[in-house]
Amino acid sequence: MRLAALGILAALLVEHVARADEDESPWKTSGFVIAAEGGYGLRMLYGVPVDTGVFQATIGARYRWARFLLDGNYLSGRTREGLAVSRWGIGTRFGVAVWRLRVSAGFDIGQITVTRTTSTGGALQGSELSLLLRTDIDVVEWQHDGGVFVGLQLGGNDRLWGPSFLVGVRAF
Amino acid sequence: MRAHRAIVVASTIGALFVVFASRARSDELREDVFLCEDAVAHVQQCCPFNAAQVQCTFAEGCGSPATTPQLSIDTARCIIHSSCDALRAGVVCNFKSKLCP
Repeated sequence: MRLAALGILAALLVEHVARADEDESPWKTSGFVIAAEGGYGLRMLYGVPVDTGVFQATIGARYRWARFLLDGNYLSGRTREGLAVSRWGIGTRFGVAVWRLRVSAGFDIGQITVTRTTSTGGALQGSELSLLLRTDIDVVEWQHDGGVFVGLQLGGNDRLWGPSFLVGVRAF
Repeated sequence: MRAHRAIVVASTIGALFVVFASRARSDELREDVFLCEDAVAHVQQCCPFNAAQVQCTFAEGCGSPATTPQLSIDTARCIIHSSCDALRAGVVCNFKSKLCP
């Protein structure tokens, strides 16, 4: 009896998935993605906390559950001792989207600038490579992959790393 | 098809990033220099302090000794973690005299 019930459930599930595949036309499952977001980022620069505002713009391509994204990002903030820190970066991520959840990973290259206290000329500059891990959850969804989302991103390298909490809007 | 093409283009750009990034790390932003600057900024938060009297620069020595920051990494971290009350009250971080006048 239980086996029969399980069999019926499995058959219904297979039929449901098959019908969903038939319903998905190519224009629904592939295309371009564009997103803009902003939020708070805590960074540790050589172990010193830096409170920053983070802004990011993304373009990319999607094919079914896969996403390939290019990001441009900028952050600006201060150490708790008062040094101004800013960083811009461009990067790339590969991710998957399942239900409202999106997980991606990639890297970016950036240029970081820190003001000096001891002299007025010449801020400290450094360029670097960072690895990124990211999870987004769609809070509001609309057609064609659009939506409002919140994201948690962890990224960095041996010098500068930390999490970002982001709110953004995505469309194509 | 358009998405496939976009993915190929994006992958190529990504590969170029890797090549560029593997060569792109300048170290003007050194740990000792940054921590020295941050430590001086902290002292300035606590009391009137002439930041110009501290040297937080690094330069390779070419026929002469290298220039290094006056505050070591350990000393700078010690100052950053010292409270303003401690800095104002007396000698901290093995300095010979008070940092705050």
